[in-house]
Amino acid sequence: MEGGPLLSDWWVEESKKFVPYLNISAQLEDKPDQKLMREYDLRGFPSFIFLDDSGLLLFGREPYWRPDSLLSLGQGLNQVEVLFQLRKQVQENPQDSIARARLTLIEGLLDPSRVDVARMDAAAKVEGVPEELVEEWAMTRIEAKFLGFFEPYRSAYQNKSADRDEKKSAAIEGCYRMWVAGEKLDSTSGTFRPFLVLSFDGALAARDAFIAEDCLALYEELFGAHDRFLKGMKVRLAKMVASAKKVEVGSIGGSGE
Amino acid sequence: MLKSSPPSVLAILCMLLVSSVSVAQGTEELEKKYQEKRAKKFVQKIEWITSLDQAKAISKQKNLPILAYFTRSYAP
Repeated sequence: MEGGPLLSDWWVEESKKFVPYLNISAQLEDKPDQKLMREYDLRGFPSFIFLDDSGLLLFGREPYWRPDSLLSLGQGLNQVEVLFQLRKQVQENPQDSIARARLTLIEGLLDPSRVDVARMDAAAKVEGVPEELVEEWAMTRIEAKFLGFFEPYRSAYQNKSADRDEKKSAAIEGCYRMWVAGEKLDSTSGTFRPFLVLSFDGALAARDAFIAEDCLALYEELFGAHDRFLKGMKVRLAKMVASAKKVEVGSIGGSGE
Repeated sequence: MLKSSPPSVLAILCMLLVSSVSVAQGTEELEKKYQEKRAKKFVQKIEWITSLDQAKAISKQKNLPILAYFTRSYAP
């Protein structure tokens, strides 16, 4: 890149359409923004991303994108420019419901872990919104809903926050409700495992043996009979079932008195 | 019977001195590589901003997106 595309005339010309920001990892603490790559979860060199003035990542993380030709740079710029135009349009005319809905969907899809699901659903229903955006949201919706429960719990756990048990309970209950409603993540999703485990925990808490068994069977199928957590999960399910039977027997015995 | 003698103060000081010299040399080498990276032709070709805060301020002022390029100087 540095010996070719970044020296070309098209690069110089196109650079007028963005603010070029250079981050050099130097393993020297006194150099600027040395921890930034980690913040954006970038793992390789070189990496190129588009950001807005708040630092929101707009384009380029996955799959890794290289603006090594005019065409490739143009593809990134086009996506980002749509967003900038929409923001301007909404600022100039806040009554433009289609532009507002498009903007909500595009911005929400950039970071599904922080979206307001109800707001996104409402935006997707606005007539005139491009079909591909609505479809993309439909595919992302369940993941976004899960992340809405999971991210606060994960963050509280990582930061050892005082309310981490509270967040965990909310995540367990939320996942279980999603499972009951048939809103299940795709098993190929990178976050399927925590979703499955939390749903299982939620089923145990709700004394729902049917769903707990369902989760456990799927867990064993996906992660194997030798998974290190499986045995513990089976023990917990067996305990829950046994205690449920005790309650049942107790209530039958009690009714005869 | 052999008696193990504790390491002398002088030996410890020598070890500390050697390690601090090698750290200093390492830092010097990293600084040199960083400056070499900054002197590359591609850096001179356009006006790159090297602070994200500054890039954000310009982005806001000009209503332009930021194109961030992440590279490294400590290794090729």
